[in-house]
Amino acid sequence: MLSAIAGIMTPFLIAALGGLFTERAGVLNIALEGQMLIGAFTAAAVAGTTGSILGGLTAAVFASGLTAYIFAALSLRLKANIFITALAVNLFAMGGTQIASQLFFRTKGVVRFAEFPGLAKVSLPLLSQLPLVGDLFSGQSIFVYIGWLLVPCAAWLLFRTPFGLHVRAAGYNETALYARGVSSRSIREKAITISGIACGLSGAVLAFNLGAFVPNITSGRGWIALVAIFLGYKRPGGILLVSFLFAGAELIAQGAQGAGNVPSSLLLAFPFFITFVGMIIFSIVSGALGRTQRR
Amino acid sequence: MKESPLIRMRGITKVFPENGVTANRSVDFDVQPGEIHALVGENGSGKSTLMHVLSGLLQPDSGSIEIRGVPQRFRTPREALSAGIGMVHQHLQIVREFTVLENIIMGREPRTAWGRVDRDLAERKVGELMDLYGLKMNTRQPAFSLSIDGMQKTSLLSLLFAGAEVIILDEPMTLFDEENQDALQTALIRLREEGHTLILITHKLRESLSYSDRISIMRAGRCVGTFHSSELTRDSLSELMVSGESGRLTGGAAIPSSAAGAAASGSHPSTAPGEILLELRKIGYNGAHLPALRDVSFRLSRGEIVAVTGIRENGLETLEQILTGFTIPTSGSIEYKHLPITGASIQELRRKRIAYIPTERLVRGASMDSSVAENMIILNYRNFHSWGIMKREEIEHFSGTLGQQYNIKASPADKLSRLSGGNIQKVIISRELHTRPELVIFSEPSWGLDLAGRQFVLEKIRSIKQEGSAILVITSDIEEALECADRIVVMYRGEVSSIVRSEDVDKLGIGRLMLGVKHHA
Amino acid sequence: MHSTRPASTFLSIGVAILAALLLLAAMVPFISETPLNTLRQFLTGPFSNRFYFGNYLNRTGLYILAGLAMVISFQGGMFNLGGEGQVYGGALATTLVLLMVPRFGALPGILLGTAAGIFTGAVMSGLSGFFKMKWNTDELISSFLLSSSIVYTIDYLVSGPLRDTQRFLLSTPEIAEQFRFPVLLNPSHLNAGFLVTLLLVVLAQRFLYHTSAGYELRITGLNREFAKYGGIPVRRYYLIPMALSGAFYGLTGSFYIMGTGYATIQGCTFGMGWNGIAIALIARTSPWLVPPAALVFAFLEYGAETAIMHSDFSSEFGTILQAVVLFFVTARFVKLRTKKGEL
Repeated sequence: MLSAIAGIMTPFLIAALGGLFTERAGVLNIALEGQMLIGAFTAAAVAGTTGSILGGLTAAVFASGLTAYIFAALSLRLKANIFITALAVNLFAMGGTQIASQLFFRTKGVVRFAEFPGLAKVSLPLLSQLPLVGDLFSGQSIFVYIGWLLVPCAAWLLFRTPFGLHVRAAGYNETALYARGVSSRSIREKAITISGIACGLSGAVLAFNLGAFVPNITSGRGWIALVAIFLGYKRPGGILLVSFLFAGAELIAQGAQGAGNVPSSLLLAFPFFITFVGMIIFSIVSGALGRTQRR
Repeated sequence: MKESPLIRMRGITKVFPENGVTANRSVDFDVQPGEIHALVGENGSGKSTLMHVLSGLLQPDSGSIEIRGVPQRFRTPREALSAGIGMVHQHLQIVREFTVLENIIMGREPRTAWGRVDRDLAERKVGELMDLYGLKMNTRQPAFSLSIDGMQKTSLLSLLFAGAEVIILDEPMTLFDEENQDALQTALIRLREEGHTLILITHKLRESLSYSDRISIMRAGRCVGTFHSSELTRDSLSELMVSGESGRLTGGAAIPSSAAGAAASGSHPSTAPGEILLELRKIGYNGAHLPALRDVSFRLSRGEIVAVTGIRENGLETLEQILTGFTIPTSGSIEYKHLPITGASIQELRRKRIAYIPTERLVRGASMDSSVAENMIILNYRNFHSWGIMKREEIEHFSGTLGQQYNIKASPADKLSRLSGGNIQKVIISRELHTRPELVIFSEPSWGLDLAGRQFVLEKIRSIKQEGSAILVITSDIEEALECADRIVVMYRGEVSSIVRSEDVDKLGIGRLMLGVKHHA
Repeated sequence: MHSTRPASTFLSIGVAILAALLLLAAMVPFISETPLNTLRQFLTGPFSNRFYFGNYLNRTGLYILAGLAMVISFQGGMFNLGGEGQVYGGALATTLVLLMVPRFGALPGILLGTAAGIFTGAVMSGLSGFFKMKWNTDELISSFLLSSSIVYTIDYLVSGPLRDTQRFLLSTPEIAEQFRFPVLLNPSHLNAGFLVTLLLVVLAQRFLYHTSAGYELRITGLNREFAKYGGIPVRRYYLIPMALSGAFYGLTGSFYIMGTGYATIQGCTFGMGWNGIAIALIARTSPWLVPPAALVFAFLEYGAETAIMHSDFSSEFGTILQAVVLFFVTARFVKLRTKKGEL
């Protein structure tokens, strides 16, 4: 069971880690979904036609990162409302992938490939022998491990480098940043681009896991990533935890579907609902733990 | 000896499109290398604007700037900083969530080979800087817990860390409080010794005369002259600052030349104070976010003005928060008309007709995106509604009248953010005083006001006092306390050092009390 | 007494439409065998006959309601991201209630149906507001989460237990005849609800700018600390803007059912929540500007739909076009005198 959770959580973990930077820089980026979609499509298209995972991955990261960069640059330099432009990106991704799908593969539905490269299953040598948690480290695709590795990487980038300092400053007080000669606009562009790269990776993972491209392959994972950022207190460690829990909830829901014949749409509702409840409980608990200043 | 100027500003003109105000009218301004130059003028005279232009925050509409004879254009603060010019603003520059160290090094972080921030190196370098300039601080302290004084020091350090040579200080006298006048002097001397050139923006006459080499006076957007400080007296200086501005004074009368707070007006024919309105009993505070208080007790009666004074860090802010319900004291009680109000919310206080003018006027006391009228009616908007429907004309009429009374240069529908700082203050103050409150808690009254405005507020306070209200003034300005209050509560390190009658002390005496020398009154 | 600038809004909308049309004109030769026809269908389609024009206005009406929902939310300083679920939920609630009372008179039934929709939306959104008030739970996320769960749940209900097996679509049974709004422009769906919607725009404006409650709401939304300091009971203004916003969204669903759809069809309300946000932002959160913004939006959708039906235009391009317009509407190419932080 643990091993399944690891597999499920990777896409939104990675996307959330990328989105973390934009959120910390003071930008609510709701285009994660669209970015992931572009990543997934590109990964599937390139990997499917070239037979190379690496090729698909690179293409996905590039496409999604580029989209993000353009979206960021245009929105920020033209002082557009980033929420609306993000909506535009999502719409653009939806329509664009359909158009491209039609154009290149003559279908608007599932895009299958004759020889889609498979993903090797890897087990980590020592860790997979561990008593309770060994399952987490055995038989996973390499992306799962990459995802976990990204957690300390993100933490390092955010908390130990000048760039991370600037990102956080942009979120807290951009005037202070400006007074010291750092352009908050440039920082935000970079942060959004990072989220694009992460979403590209995340979308690629989705495509590789499935071995094909399906319209709406992302089905809300971009939003879940966003939720993970907030519930994880905007910290990499928190995001890891929340992603894990969320994946667990989804697994339970899937199990329920298999066992009790629960219909699939209700299944989709479950993770959202459980997160909602969890969020409320979390607020109550953290509220109860101390209040010195009256709000 | 006429060296060529380090900075040469010529013909600087700046008009603000939002409100059409010409902040700078073809201003010429020179700064010699290594000098301390005071830029003096009332609020609205354009001194801040001029320095914003110099430091790259604003673009002039016309005019030129030369640094060491080389023409320059600073489009951003960064460009000005590259030329060695930096300005210390207030908390605009500080990220509250970061530590002091992070704030200082931000933008010029020393890096390790891996790209990480080299904290040890940073600590060392900053430590050296602090020693050199006598600006000791705790680098690990989170910035939100700093006093305004600390924030300014942090900003100054960050400029020095970035290699600024010319440092513009905005109203430094108000922050290096009375006790730290020595610290201010030391800092200025050290800065000068290290070869820095300083420009002090200030409206305080005495200090500008004592600290600076030369003084330039701004008035109504023009520079009316530059003098060596030895050539001027307080009287001549204040005359240069204000004469010729007929519209700004109520009645157009000349201001008494020692208007900047001579102690003579300290006592007023004492109306025997009436019943006790407000009583604090052994108020204590021990929490995390504010300086501590201990055993604070005093009383306030009808028809009385009491000033609580001291260095801001010594508990003034904490007291303000506690009195107005924003923070709950850890011990002690407060009674209003003999009923307990400890921890009462500000809404409840308002219902008891207690007015409150906060220090953080622009954040707490105003809604910048709303109109003047909407800001004015916040306390009594229900009077303009019948059956929940607003009466527009009445609101406009009310705002207009209040505006006239206080000489506010704006119309009711103007967005508040378009007003000048002084006018915004007047909007806030006028609406509070208008409600004829029984008790007024007034924090830092002369903050943000020009000479005329201060006079006006002082008169208003006195007239409410005559009508029987009680006013509690919280101020870090001793002169202000002496000038307006009947009794003064002097705070030192979170405790009441002494309570004296204003006629019994002078500035020196209070200064000593603020340093902890106890005085039994 | 508020900070919108109608001129700049109209300018942005104008530029956006122009850009979209140019893009359309550029795209069309590549995607269609009959470019001129496609273009013509797109641009004039909504106006070409009463059916299309009426439906276009009808859709506009629904978007106006959604826009008003978000205007209230934003003015109160709250972000209601649960519009989709609230509209859908309001629609289902209305449907169910009316299905339960097939013999009620027209007027009582309609009132009941409306009340059901409003109530559902208000409760859903109000819940988030309540949690924010009590425990400082982020309302943006909680409203989104709750709404998403509801959307999927209703999808299931409508395709399963509540399904009307007689119909081809995944849908509930239709409501009784007497509850359906009188049609204004036959044969389209444009119905009396449209007129009520216009009235609501006026009411919303009046509420926000002419009542004390509206004043309290706006001031709290602009600067909560100031409002608190001034004596406004700010705690309730976490709940109230959210509940009102949800009420409008629920009303949108209600009006859809009683005016257009007559039954809850799976996915029938898709997009109204999001479009409400976009419309409110374009309208700079001013009620007066919501109708023009809604007109533009609905035009794009309808133009695409008529083009799809009468030429070989496909829906993805319509999506792309919408994206472009959204972008252009908010981007500032012209240097207007705007403040930082405003839209």
